[in-house]
Amino acid sequence: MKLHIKYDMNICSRIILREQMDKLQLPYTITGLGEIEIKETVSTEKYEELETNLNKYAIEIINNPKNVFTQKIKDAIVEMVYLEEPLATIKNSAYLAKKLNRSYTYISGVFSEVTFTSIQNFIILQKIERAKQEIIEGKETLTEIAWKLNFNSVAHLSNEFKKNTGLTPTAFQRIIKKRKETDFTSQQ
Amino acid sequence: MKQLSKSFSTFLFILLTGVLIVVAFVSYNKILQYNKSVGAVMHTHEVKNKIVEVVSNLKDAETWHRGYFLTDDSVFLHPGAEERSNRVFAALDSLISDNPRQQENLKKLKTLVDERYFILNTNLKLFKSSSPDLLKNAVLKGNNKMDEVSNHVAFMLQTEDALLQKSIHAKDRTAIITPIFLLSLSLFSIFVITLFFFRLQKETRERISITESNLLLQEANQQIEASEKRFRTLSETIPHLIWTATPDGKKNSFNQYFINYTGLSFEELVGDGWQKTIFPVDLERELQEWHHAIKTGEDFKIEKRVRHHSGTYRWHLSHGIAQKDNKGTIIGWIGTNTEIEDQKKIEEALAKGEEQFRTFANSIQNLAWIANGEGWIYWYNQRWFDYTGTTLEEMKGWGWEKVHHPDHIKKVEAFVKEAWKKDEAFEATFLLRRHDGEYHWFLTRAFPVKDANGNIERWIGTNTDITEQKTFTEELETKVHERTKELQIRNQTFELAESIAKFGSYTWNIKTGERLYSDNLFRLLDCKPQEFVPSFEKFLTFIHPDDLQQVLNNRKQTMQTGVLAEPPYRIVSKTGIIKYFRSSGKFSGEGDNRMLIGTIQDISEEVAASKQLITKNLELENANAELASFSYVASHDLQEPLRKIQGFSKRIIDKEAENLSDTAKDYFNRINAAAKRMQNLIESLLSFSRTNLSEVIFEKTDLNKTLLEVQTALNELITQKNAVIESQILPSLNAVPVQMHQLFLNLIGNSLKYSKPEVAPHIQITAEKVTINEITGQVELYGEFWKIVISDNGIGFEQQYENKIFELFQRLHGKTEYEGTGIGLAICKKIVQAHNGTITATGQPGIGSTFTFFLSDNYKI
Amino acid sequence: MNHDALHILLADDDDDDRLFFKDAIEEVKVKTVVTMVNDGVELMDYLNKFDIQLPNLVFLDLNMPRKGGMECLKEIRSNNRLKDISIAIYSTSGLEKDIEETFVKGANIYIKKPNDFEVLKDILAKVITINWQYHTSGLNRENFLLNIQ
Repeated sequence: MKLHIKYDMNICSRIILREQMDKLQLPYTITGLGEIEIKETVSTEKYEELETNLNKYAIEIINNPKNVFTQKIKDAIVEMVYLEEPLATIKNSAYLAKKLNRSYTYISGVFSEVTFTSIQNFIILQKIERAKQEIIEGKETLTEIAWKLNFNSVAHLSNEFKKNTGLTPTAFQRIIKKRKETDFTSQQ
Repeated sequence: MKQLSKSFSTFLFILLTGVLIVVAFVSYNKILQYNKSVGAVMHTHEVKNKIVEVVSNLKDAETWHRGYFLTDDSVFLHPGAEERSNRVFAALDSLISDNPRQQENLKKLKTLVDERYFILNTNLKLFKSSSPDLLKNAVLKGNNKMDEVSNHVAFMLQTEDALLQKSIHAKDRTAIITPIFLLSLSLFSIFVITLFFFRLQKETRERISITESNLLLQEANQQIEASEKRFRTLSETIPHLIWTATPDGKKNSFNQYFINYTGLSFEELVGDGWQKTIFPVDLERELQEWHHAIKTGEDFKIEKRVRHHSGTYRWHLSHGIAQKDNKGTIIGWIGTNTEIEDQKKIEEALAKGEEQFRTFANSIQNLAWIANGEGWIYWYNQRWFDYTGTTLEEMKGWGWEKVHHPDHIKKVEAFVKEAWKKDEAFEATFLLRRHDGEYHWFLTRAFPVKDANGNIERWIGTNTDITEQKTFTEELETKVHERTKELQIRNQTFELAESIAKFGSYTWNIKTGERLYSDNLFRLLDCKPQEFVPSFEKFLTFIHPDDLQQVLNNRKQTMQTGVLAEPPYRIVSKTGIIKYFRSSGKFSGEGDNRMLIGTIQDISEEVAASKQLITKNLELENANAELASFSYVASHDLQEPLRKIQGFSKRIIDKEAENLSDTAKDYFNRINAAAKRMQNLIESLLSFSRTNLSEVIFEKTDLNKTLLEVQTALNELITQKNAVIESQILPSLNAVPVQMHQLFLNLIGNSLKYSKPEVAPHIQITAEKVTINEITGQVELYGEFWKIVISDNGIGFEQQYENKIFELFQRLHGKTEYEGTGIGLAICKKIVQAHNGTITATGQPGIGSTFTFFLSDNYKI
Repeated sequence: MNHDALHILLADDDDDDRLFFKDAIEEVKVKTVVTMVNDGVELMDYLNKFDIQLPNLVFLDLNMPRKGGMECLKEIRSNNRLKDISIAIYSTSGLEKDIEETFVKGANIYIKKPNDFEVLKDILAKVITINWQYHTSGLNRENFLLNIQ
């Protein structure tokens, strides 16, 4: 039988973190997405053990502060894109600056340095991702989705979608639908 | 005379008696004589016998002795011979006692015989003891004795015979006479007897007849008495007035009824008194008739009124018959008066009725007539005479024949003559001549009028002028005839149609179950027309066993829903051929009239054809699929080397740039370009072939969406050239989406490609609905279409090439000027045609091009 | 991207194409480790080995002898162990029908083999980058569809 599920990666990762941290039997706090504060010092073995365990879940311990920050930026962007309110009301740069408590310039600089892509690209990527989800859910029309995600028009959305994925939203929808129809163990 | 004969008879009688006595007497004598003779003969015979017996005894004794002498056997010795002989002699003696002579003879004989015996005995003794000689002498002696005996016997016999002769002879004389005499006497007697007999018979007969006639007379008298009695009784009992009269006309008897009826006594009526019973008005007539009858002796018949004792006069029918004797003289009259008052009343009524009828008849338009029971017309109404211009004299009786059409009269006569004989009303139609000679058709109706007994008394008839009707009827008949002919022709045509189109028709009365099949329906079943009585069961026998259940189910459904929508089924014809039938029909009428009328069509050919079609389609699809895969593979495999050529030549240029001369670089570029062109060509070809082979599924296509997609696809080019595409609202119609995409892609792509350098392309698209009724070129367009126009401000083209550009591989520019394969517009044309439309182009060099195409609205396959 | 090298696997029977690919990948700035197999059978054998590090990204040609790309796609996608692998169909066919079918069957990327080397370079760079992004950014791999024509 097939089950269709939706999941929040953030919550999943947090639970996994917790589980792993509990295993360590070290007092800790998760201070936000991507940050854990351990009250005590951690021995090398324990550190390596933790790292190995977390790696199993594709959770990496980031060393580089810039990497760390980039991750933060990404998280912030993701959060921004998936807000309930229409994105039109939000200016990306302002939101991020506020959220990360840095100037937009700094943010974009670090991002580009680390990822070799621009924040804009990433934002669009995320938007497209959200659009994909919305399209799959099928509750809203393309027009509605375009507006919600702050695209200029359906055409704009269509264009960006196609640019990004090489497929039209309709084609995408069709494919996903067909995928679900076939007996197919999908990824994740 | 009688007395004479009487005495003669007596005389004859006495004579006869005398003769008979004589005859008897003589006969008696004669008989006695004869008896005597016979006795004498017998006597003689006996004597002779005895004598002979004696001799034989003697001889016997001799023989015995001889025997003994010979054999010496004592068996031969028979004693007692002598005694025997003596006995015989004694008998003889008695016999001839009447004849002394013979007695003497006899004595002598005896002596001789005795002597003989003595000798014999002696011999016997001698035999025993003496010598043969002695014996011999003895025997000799014996023999001599024997001779003597024999002689004597002979003599005796002779004597006897003589005696006999004498007596017989004596009678001889009378012997002949007496029989003759007797015979003649007898004959004479017989003759007399016969005479006598006849005479007697005659007398007897006369006597009998007299007695008989006396008896008859007696009987007759008795009968007369009896009938008179009866008459009297009858005349007293029947309710008619009966009277008798003398030859001179005086009534002399009346029955009781007469008396009672009239209330008068015999004395009052007798003679001429009865005349007062007659109604005075009728009396004169009565007397006239009566006297006539008396004179002539003819039957007397008259109707008259007779006075009832109550004082009323009633009609009577008098009938008197003369009683004649055998000479013809009237000896009296017998008559009856029968009351006919009621009948008379009926007659009066009838007459009145007839009077009324006549009045009526004279008033109506029709011609009318009255005839008697035999058909003799005695009255016509005035109309008749007015019409025919005749008189009663001419017309009465059978005179009407004069005004009938000569051609028909024979028939009419025959018919009418028959009709009179029957006792039913009848009708007839015939021509009657008008006074001016014109003939008109009349319908005559005749009704019999019957009396109380049911016999026809009169015929009443009318004649109605039906000329108009007749003409009308004739016209109608002609019309009907024509119509029938038409119908026949139509029927024939229909039947012909049936047989050509291979269907038969049927009607089925639901209530009665009666079915009618057209001739062709039978033929469809390979039977002769009307070969069997149509029925559902019979039809079922033709159904193919595999389809039988389906047919039954369908029929059930049809009956339930009242709508006949049954799928085809197979039948096996009479000759064993399997055919496909399709039934169709409609219900009509209600209740008793509810019918199912329909046709059955032999669709075997269509089925075969459609089967073939399916097969062919399948083959075509297979061929197409093969072709498609071939095209794909071909293009795919063809493209691969081209890719490599391009790829590697590029790599060479990139990697070995420093080591290559400009010429070399140039060459490699050209190689590249060529390869690219080839690739484009292959892709175009593939695309072109795909328009044929791709799945042609028509669906509702929103052309606005199509435009959007095309714009997206050409996005780069549009952005690059800063092109502006303006479009009206495009329609949604039945089309193949992929092909529509291709169409717009090619056209808009062209507009972008063939734009003027440095000028931003401006493309305008319009759409409008039109109704076309014209022939454009070789294409016929009828109906409603969408006219879509794509116009640009590109480089345009010369109008003379308007057709060329749509041809395959035709270009107006070199491949280096503008890239392209020359297939694009050919594909567009194909696509438009596939949608039932056309495409045309107009161009102005340096100004722009306009492409107009029509797409059928609501195109259906 | 400061990670270990991206493991890339190419399954293509065409020698020239393999050459192109290798050259192009080398010029992409990302650190990669490239493995090549000649056909589908080799591919599946390789993937089913237990002691190898699974590739992150598999480039799969459709037309291969012995076992074609479609079949491999099916097999990979029905193998739980291989679920993390992003699959890019790398084919000469540009038929939309084919493209959609591969996506439906579980491919993440479809690349029509370009003629131009430079183009190929760009494509590969893009693909790798995006793939990495999906890998790291918590994006829904299920919805990862990329069509490059």
